[in-house]
Amino acid sequence: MASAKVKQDMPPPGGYGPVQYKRNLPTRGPSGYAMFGIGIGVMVFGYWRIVKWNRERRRLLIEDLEARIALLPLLQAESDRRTLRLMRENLEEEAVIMKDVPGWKVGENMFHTERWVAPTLDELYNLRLREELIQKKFDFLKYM
Amino acid sequence: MPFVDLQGRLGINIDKWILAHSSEQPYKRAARCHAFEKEWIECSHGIGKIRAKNECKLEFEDFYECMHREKTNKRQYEIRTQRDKLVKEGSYTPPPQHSGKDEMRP
Repeated sequence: MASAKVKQDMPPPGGYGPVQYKRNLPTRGPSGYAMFGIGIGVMVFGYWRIVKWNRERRRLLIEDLEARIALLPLLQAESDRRTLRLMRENLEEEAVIMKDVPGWKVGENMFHTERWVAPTLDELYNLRLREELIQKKFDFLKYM
Repeated sequence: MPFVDLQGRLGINIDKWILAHSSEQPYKRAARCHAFEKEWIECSHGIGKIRAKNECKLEFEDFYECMHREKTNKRQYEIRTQRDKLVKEGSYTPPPQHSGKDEMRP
Protein backbone atom coordinates (compact mmCIF):
# COMPACT_ATOMS: atom_id res chain seq x y z
CA MET A 1 0.00 0.00 0.00
CA ALA A 2 2.60 2.67 -0.35
CA SER A 3 2.48 5.67 -2.48
CA ALA A 4 0.69 4.18 -5.39
CA LYS A 5 -0.96 6.97 -7.31
CA VAL A 6 -4.60 6.39 -6.32
CA LYS A 7 -7.12 9.00 -7.15
CA GLN A 8 -8.53 10.27 -3.87
CA ASP A 9 -10.61 13.19 -2.88
CA MET A 10 -8.10 15.47 -1.23
CA PRO A 11 -8.37 19.08 0.00
CA PRO A 12 -7.24 21.73 -2.43
CA PRO A 13 -3.60 22.69 -2.25
CA GLY A 14 -3.10 25.34 0.42
CA GLY A 15 -5.95 24.07 2.50
CA TYR A 16 -9.44 25.42 2.79
CA GLY A 17 -10.23 29.02 3.32
CA PRO A 18 -11.19 30.49 6.70
CA VAL A 19 -14.53 29.21 8.10
CA GLN A 20 -16.80 31.77 9.65
CA TYR A 21 -17.74 30.53 13.08
CA LYS A 22 -18.35 33.79 14.92
CA ARG A 23 -21.92 35.27 15.17
CA ASN A 24 -22.93 37.76 12.54
CA LEU A 25 -25.65 40.03 13.88
CA PRO A 26 -25.20 43.34 12.15
CA THR A 27 -27.08 46.33 13.55
CA ARG A 28 -29.14 47.64 10.71
CA GLY A 29 -32.39 49.46 10.08
CA PRO A 30 -33.76 52.27 12.17
CA SER A 31 -33.01 52.43 15.84
CA GLY A 32 -35.66 51.92 18.50
CA TYR A 33 -36.20 55.61 19.04
CA ALA A 34 -36.47 56.09 15.32
CA MET A 35 -39.09 53.36 15.04
CA PHE A 36 -41.12 54.89 17.87
CA GLY A 37 -40.76 58.22 16.17
CA ILE A 38 -41.96 56.91 12.85
CA GLY A 39 -44.90 55.10 14.47
CA ILE A 40 -45.98 58.10 16.49
CA GLY A 41 -45.48 60.33 13.49
CA VAL A 42 -47.73 58.18 11.34
CA MET A 43 -50.35 58.11 14.09
CA VAL A 44 -50.29 61.85 14.56
CA PHE A 45 -50.63 62.35 10.85
CA GLY A 46 -53.56 59.95 10.82
CA TYR A 47 -55.26 61.77 13.72
CA TRP A 48 -54.84 65.12 12.05
CA ARG A 49 -56.38 63.84 8.81
CA ILE A 50 -59.32 62.28 10.68
CA VAL A 51 -59.89 65.44 12.70
CA LYS A 52 -59.97 67.56 9.58
CA TRP A 53 -62.37 65.25 7.84
CA ASN A 54 -64.63 64.99 10.87
CA ARG A 55 -64.89 68.76 11.03
CA GLU A 56 -65.76 68.80 7.35
CA ARG A 57 -68.38 66.11 7.94
CA ARG A 58 -69.87 68.17 10.76
CA ARG A 59 -70.12 71.13 8.42
CA LEU A 60 -71.89 68.97 5.86
CA LEU A 61 -74.25 67.62 8.52
CA ILE A 62 -75.09 71.13 9.65
CA GLU A 63 -75.80 72.01 6.05
CA ASP A 64 -78.24 69.11 5.79
CA LEU A 65 -79.94 70.11 9.02
CA GLU A 66 -80.25 73.70 7.85
CA ALA A 67 -81.82 72.50 4.64
CA ARG A 68 -84.36 70.57 6.68
CA ILE A 69 -85.03 73.60 8.84
CA ALA A 70 -85.62 75.65 5.73
CA LEU A 71 -88.11 73.07 4.48
CA LEU A 72 -89.90 72.63 7.79
CA PRO A 73 -92.85 74.94 7.09
CA LEU A 74 -93.57 73.02 3.93
CA LEU A 75 -93.26 69.65 5.60
CA GLN A 76 -95.36 70.73 8.55
CA ALA A 77 -98.04 72.16 6.27
CA GLU A 78 -98.14 68.94 4.27
CA SER A 79 -98.40 66.88 7.41
CA ASP A 80 -101.17 69.08 8.80
CA ARG A 81 -103.14 68.88 5.57
CA ARG A 82 -102.76 65.14 5.64
CA THR A 83 -103.98 64.89 9.20
CA LEU A 84 -107.01 67.02 8.47
CA ARG A 85 -107.81 65.08 5.33
CA LEU A 86 -107.68 61.77 7.16
CA MET A 87 -109.81 63.10 9.99
CA ARG A 88 -112.39 64.39 7.54
CA GLU A 89 -112.58 61.08 5.72
CA ASN A 90 -112.90 59.21 9.01
CA LEU A 91 -115.69 61.49 10.11
CA GLU A 92 -117.67 61.01 6.94
CA GLU A 93 -117.23 57.27 6.95
CA GLU A 94 -118.20 57.11 10.58
CA ALA A 95 -121.42 58.97 9.79
CA VAL A 96 -122.22 56.38 7.13
CA ILE A 97 -121.22 53.33 9.13
CA MET A 98 -122.79 54.13 12.46
CA LYS A 99 -126.08 55.53 11.29
CA ASP A 100 -128.07 52.51 12.49
CA VAL A 101 -126.39 52.31 15.88
CA PRO A 102 -128.66 53.80 18.54
CA GLY A 103 -127.28 56.58 20.69
CA TRP A 104 -124.17 57.23 18.68
CA LYS A 105 -122.88 60.76 18.36
CA VAL A 106 -120.81 61.20 15.21
CA GLY A 107 -117.56 63.03 15.77
CA GLU A 108 -117.93 62.94 19.53
CA ASN A 109 -115.13 64.57 21.45
CA MET A 110 -113.54 62.21 23.96
CA PHE A 111 -112.16 65.06 26.05
CA HIS A 112 -113.97 67.53 28.26
CA THR A 113 -111.95 70.39 26.83
CA GLU A 114 -112.59 72.18 23.56
CA ARG A 115 -108.90 72.55 22.73
CA TRP A 116 -107.38 70.93 19.68
CA VAL A 117 -105.95 67.54 20.68
CA ALA A 118 -103.55 66.07 18.18
CA PRO A 119 -104.98 62.79 16.88
CA THR A 120 -102.98 59.63 17.35
CA LEU A 121 -101.87 57.43 14.48
CA ASP A 122 -104.30 54.73 15.56
CA GLU A 123 -107.12 57.21 15.32
CA LEU A 124 -106.13 58.48 11.89
CA TYR A 125 -105.52 55.10 10.35
CA ASN A 126 -108.43 53.41 12.03
CA LEU A 127 -110.40 52.52 8.94
CA ARG A 128 -107.46 52.00 6.66
CA LEU A 129 -105.50 48.84 6.06
CA ARG A 130 -103.51 47.50 8.96
CA GLU A 131 -100.32 47.41 6.88
CA GLU A 132 -100.45 51.15 6.35
CA LEU A 133 -100.65 51.77 10.06
CA ILE A 134 -97.74 49.45 10.76
CA GLN A 135 -95.67 51.04 8.02
CA LYS A 136 -96.38 54.49 9.39
CA LYS A 137 -95.77 53.53 12.99
CA PHE A 138 -92.61 51.50 12.69
CA ASP A 139 -91.38 52.61 9.27
CA PHE A 140 -91.00 49.05 8.05
CA LEU A 141 -93.31 46.22 7.32
CA LYS A 142 -91.52 42.92 7.33
CA TYR A 143 -92.76 40.95 10.30
CA MET A 144 -96.48 41.11 10.64
CA MET B 1 -89.05 67.68 53.34
CA PRO B 2 -92.54 68.89 52.71
CA PHE B 3 -92.60 72.46 54.01
CA VAL B 4 -88.94 73.25 53.47
CA ASP B 5 -88.51 73.94 49.79
CA LEU B 6 -84.86 73.02 49.85
CA GLN B 7 -84.34 72.95 46.14
CA GLY B 8 -86.03 76.28 45.72
CA ARG B 9 -83.98 77.87 48.47
CA LEU B 10 -80.74 76.60 47.03
CA GLY B 11 -81.80 77.39 43.50
CA ILE B 12 -81.00 73.92 42.22
CA ASN B 13 -83.06 71.40 40.31
CA ILE B 14 -82.04 67.93 41.37
CA ASP B 15 -85.14 65.94 40.64
CA LYS B 16 -87.92 68.35 39.80
CA TRP B 17 -87.25 67.73 36.17
CA ILE B 18 -88.09 64.04 36.60
CA LEU B 19 -91.30 64.39 38.50
CA ALA B 20 -93.62 65.63 35.79
CA HIS B 21 -93.64 65.68 32.01
CA SER B 22 -94.55 69.33 32.19
CA SER B 23 -91.25 70.33 33.77
CA GLU B 24 -88.33 71.58 31.76
CA GLN B 25 -87.31 69.04 29.16
CA PRO B 26 -84.07 68.76 27.20
CA TYR B 27 -84.14 70.46 23.80
CA LYS B 28 -87.42 72.08 24.85
CA ARG B 29 -89.39 69.18 23.49
CA ALA B 30 -92.88 69.21 24.92
CA ALA B 31 -94.54 66.02 26.04
CA ARG B 32 -97.62 64.82 24.25
CA CYS B 33 -99.91 65.53 27.18
CA HIS B 34 -98.09 68.59 28.41
CA ALA B 35 -101.15 70.82 28.39
CA PHE B 36 -103.38 68.35 30.18
CA GLU B 37 -100.80 67.60 32.79
CA LYS B 38 -100.16 71.27 33.40
CA GLU B 39 -103.84 71.96 33.80
CA TRP B 40 -104.27 69.12 36.25
CA ILE B 41 -101.27 70.11 38.32
CA GLU B 42 -102.33 73.72 38.44
CA CYS B 43 -105.84 72.70 39.40
CA SER B 44 -104.84 70.29 42.12
CA HIS B 45 -101.86 72.12 43.59
CA GLY B 46 -101.87 72.88 47.26
CA ILE B 47 -105.38 71.71 48.07
CA GLY B 48 -104.63 68.20 49.28
CA LYS B 49 -105.35 64.84 47.79
CA ILE B 50 -109.02 64.37 48.75
CA ARG B 51 -110.07 67.80 47.57
CA ALA B 52 -108.06 67.36 44.40
CA LYS B 53 -109.78 64.09 43.68
CA ASN B 54 -113.14 65.74 44.05
CA GLU B 55 -112.57 69.07 42.38
CA CYS B 56 -110.20 68.27 39.54
CA LYS B 57 -112.07 65.30 38.09
CA LEU B 58 -112.42 66.76 34.59
CA GLU B 59 -108.79 67.73 34.27
CA PHE B 60 -107.68 64.38 35.58
CA GLU B 61 -109.93 62.48 33.22
CA ASP B 62 -108.67 64.49 30.28
CA PHE B 63 -105.08 63.87 31.31
CA TYR B 64 -105.71 60.17 31.75
CA GLU B 65 -107.46 59.99 28.40
CA CYS B 66 -104.58 61.77 26.71
CA MET B 67 -102.06 59.39 28.19
CA HIS B 68 -103.89 56.12 27.64
CA ARG B 69 -106.55 56.95 25.05
CA GLU B 70 -108.82 54.27 26.43
CA LYS B 71 -112.08 55.90 25.37
CA THR B 72 -110.67 56.83 21.97
CA ASN B 73 -109.44 53.33 21.25
CA LYS B 74 -112.65 51.76 22.47
CA ARG B 75 -114.67 54.03 20.20
CA GLN B 76 -112.45 53.29 17.23
CA TYR B 77 -112.80 49.59 17.92
CA GLU B 78 -116.58 49.84 17.92
CA ILE B 79 -116.53 51.69 14.62
CA ARG B 80 -114.25 49.07 13.13
CA THR B 81 -116.32 46.12 14.27
CA GLN B 82 -119.49 47.77 13.02
CA ARG B 83 -117.86 48.36 9.66
CA ASP B 84 -116.71 44.76 9.43
CA LYS B 85 -120.21 43.61 10.32
CA LEU B 86 -121.71 45.76 7.58
CA VAL B 87 -119.16 44.58 5.04
CA LYS B 88 -119.97 40.98 5.94
CA GLU B 89 -123.67 41.64 5.48
CA GLY B 90 -122.83 43.28 2.19
CA SER B 91 -124.56 46.59 2.79
CA TYR B 92 -121.39 48.67 2.85
CA THR B 93 -118.31 48.76 0.64
CA PRO B 94 -115.33 50.68 1.93
CA PRO B 95 -114.25 53.61 -0.24
CA PRO B 96 -111.02 53.23 -2.22
CA GLN B 97 -108.88 55.04 0.30
CA HIS B 98 -109.83 52.51 2.93
CA SER B 99 -109.17 49.47 0.79
CA GLY B 100 -105.67 50.39 -0.18
CA LYS B 101 -106.46 51.40 -3.75
CA ASP B 102 -105.52 55.05 -3.66
CA GLU B 103 -102.05 56.52 -3.74
CA MET B 104 -100.89 58.22 -0.60
CA ARG B 105 -100.86 61.94 -1.18
CA PRO B 106 -99.56 64.32 1.43
